[in-house]
Amino acid sequence: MGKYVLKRLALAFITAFIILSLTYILVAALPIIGGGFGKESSMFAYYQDQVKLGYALDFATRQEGLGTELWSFVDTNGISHYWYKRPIIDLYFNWIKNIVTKWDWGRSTQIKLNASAMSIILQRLPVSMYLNIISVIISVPLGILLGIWAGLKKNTWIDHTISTLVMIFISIPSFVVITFLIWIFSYQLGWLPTQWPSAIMPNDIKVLGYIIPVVSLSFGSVCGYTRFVRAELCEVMSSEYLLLARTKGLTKNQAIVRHALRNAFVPILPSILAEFIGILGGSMILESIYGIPGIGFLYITALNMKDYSVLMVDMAVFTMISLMAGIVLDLSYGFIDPRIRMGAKK
Amino acid sequence: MKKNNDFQLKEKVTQSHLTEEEKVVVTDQDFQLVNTSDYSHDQKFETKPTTFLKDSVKRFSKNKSSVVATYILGILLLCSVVVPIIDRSDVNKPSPYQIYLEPKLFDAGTGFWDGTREYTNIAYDPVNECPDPADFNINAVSNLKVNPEVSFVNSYSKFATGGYIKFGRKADDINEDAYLENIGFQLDTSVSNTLQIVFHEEEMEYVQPAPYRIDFLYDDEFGTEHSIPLVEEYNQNYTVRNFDLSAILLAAEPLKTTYENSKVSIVVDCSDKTLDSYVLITSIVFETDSTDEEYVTAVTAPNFTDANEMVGRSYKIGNDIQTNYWSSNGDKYLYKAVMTACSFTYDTYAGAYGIKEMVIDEITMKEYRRNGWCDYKFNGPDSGPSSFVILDADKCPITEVISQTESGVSIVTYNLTCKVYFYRYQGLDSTPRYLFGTDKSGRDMLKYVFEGLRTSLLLGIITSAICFIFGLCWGAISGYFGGNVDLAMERFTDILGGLPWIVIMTLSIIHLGQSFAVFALALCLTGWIGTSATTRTQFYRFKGREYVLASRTLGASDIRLIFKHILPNAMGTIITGAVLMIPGVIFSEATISYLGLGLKGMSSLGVILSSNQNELLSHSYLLIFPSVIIALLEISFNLFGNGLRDAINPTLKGEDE
Repeated sequence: MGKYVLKRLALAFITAFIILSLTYILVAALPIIGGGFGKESSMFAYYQDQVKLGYALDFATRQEGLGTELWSFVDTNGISHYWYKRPIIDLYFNWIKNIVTKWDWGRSTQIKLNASAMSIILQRLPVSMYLNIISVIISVPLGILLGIWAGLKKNTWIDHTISTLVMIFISIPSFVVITFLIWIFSYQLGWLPTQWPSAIMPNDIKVLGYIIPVVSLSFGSVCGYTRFVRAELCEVMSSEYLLLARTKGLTKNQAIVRHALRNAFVPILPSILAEFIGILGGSMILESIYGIPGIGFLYITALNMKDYSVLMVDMAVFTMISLMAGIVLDLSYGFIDPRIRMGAKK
Repeated sequence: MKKNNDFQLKEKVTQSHLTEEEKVVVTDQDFQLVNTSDYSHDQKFETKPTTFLKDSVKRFSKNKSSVVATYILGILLLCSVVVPIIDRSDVNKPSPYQIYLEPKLFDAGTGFWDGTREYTNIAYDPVNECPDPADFNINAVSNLKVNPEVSFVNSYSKFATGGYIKFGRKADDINEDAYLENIGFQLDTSVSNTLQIVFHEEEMEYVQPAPYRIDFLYDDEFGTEHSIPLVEEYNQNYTVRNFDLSAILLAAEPLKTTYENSKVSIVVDCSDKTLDSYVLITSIVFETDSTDEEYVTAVTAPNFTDANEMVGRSYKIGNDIQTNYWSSNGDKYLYKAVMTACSFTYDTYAGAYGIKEMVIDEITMKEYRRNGWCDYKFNGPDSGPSSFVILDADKCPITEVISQTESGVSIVTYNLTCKVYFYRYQGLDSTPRYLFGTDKSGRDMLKYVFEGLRTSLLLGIITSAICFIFGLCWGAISGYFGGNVDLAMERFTDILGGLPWIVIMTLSIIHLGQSFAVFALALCLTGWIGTSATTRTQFYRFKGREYVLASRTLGASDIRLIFKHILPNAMGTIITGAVLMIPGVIFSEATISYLGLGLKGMSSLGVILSSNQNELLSHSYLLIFPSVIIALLEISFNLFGNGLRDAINPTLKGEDE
């Protein structure tokens, strides 16, 4: 098992490396927006920093054949500077070097000039995380309970109602759900704030501000869990060992709790664990509709403002989250049910 | 099977519990042959033989919800083709006279889906006893109620007073602070000049108070701007500020007496752009003790004690009419002006197409006269408005001529102010009826939404088809050959599948643009992985079967084995996967469009929703109709796909329900 875990981690690392390299090269190939995006003094500091980090070249005269000039400036000592982008392959190796040696993922240009891209991400991460933690805490028990209820009352009106609702809510795109939630509860009824309350709002409004994001984040996963638990439970309920348990003299409740549920949870637990990895990633749609300053909203902002360093780190975060979730899902199968040997030979 | 010797026991004989003496002797005569013919044949089936397809259809039609979903899907598909053809309204050309018409199915007055709209908190014009006639057609207003309480308005209204200016936050260029400054005048320090700025303190609780500073700006003789600080550091002291401008300026530059283009600039600190911070200003008053009237007018022109009045004030420089005396590079709003409000029901169709007062030129009137709809005399005896006679009441657009104006010297042209039926003026027989309403540029949403649906469906089907073919080939090769080929191909899909789709979409869009082809390509890049995984599993399942081995022994080639023997068995599962991919693709496209990275130049459901997402409060129907359509599409596609899967592959039934 240990060997398998190590192998999976190494493979994930290699995959992540290749993905991030490809992404970086594709992003670096984009035409950089040169010129003024801030005060001259901060721009000067930015380009000097770029030269130090190995992303730009600084010349005293105008150069030919080095592509478009990024920016030119005469500093306070009267020295002229002309900055040019380095070749992509240089950028790529310097980028790796900076990450490995200094954990430096580049500088932001638009969102907060000269701030490190990593610090911007770390600043935005907590909001996305809180929201996701709350929604996981709510959606997991709720989804499991609804699933158990539907599974035990199979083919009754309760089951049909729950299954139909799950079917409907799983099909409706999340932005439609969010839009309608805001329209009904914020605009028509006026109970909830119409967008994410800012830091200075009173505490009761802040708490109310959590309701729409948490509900809309939970919708999908509640439906997912309900469907999953119901399917598993239905399968277990018709198995022979449950019949044996009943013939041994266990009551129906005892048989369900001691045998059916325990076995039904084998495939469910890993997906819950994997969901906890997803806590880190914000929901892009929700955050941009509701104006939540998390990393999903940051992604859209960075993309629209063409702040490619921040975009790159954000992409890295999302990639790592999806890879890690996959690994946790695979590994936890083995831990929870020793009969399952992931990656074992025939 | 042949049955030659069918015997039937004539009488029931059980020997076990009989005693020795009672033993019955059974001879051959006790038995009788039932069938004496040589052969007995299997009977022919009385039912008709069924094929796999027929059987699937039968199973499918038993699933009620899937059948309903299929009908809905069919109707949507039909609408997406038929509606854009039948509906003749032009959605590419703006029609400014019919913007924001509410959806209308029933006649006005029924209260539901009737093209009316409830307005509340609208400024009331006490003179005409109606809402502002400039914004609303009075003939379309009904149920008018005047709100007895004092109401507040956050935008300029002719009928409001008071309020304050809320100002701050520079959105687009973050690295600069926001300022609010008056238009320049020439300041003379030989007379006393004072300035009073009153901030609004009480309302600060809901607005982040912004740190501010106040500068005095002026131009020197070369036109270069200089500044003298009145309040130096950014601070948050919102008490009344009084400045003796002359004294301050004389202290700063004792030799200067006149300041060209002098301005007072209130600068708000915008360095933290994550905060929406503002200052609220109730009044700004310049005072001078000069006796020169022209000078006094210039200096006191920017004064305001009534923010609403200031915002609405306009003045003239040369031929340009400027809107007010204060300019800003940040957000500047009027806040909480006081007014009397009213609420009413407004028939948007009557408002846009009903009787309106408008100016009609001579040519139009002559055309109406030529058509025999009405009669009118422009000049001569008994001419003018009183000469207007309606001849055809069912067709004449004009109901009443109010006045006539003449222009031109040698050739006189006439313009008539009339009351007209606007729909007749537009050349229509009756007021149009828009089922889904119209949007901000007067587009018919019914046509626009179904055109969008058509684009979305087209994208979904094309992308799914490409993904299906490519994924099938990839999965078939990977699954059939196995071994190292499989390993290498699997690692490739691992890497590609590890990329979040949003990253792939983003990168394709910023590299290649936002056209239909790029969207299809970007969605295909990762879309095929699902099909390939299913195909691979199916191939692993079937390639070891005996019939494949038998065929191989007979010398069948790989191609033949794949396409003739394995694929037909695996097809059911793969096809349902491909069908379920279509809603997924539509969903992805809508999502990315909703985030503002959508198709350019074409409407898809996502693009429509995205372009209208800011109108949720004001015109919610613009979002509700496309949302309902997309939800309906997704639900019915999923139900249809699940039904198809259960029908084609009954062993999987109930897996995902």
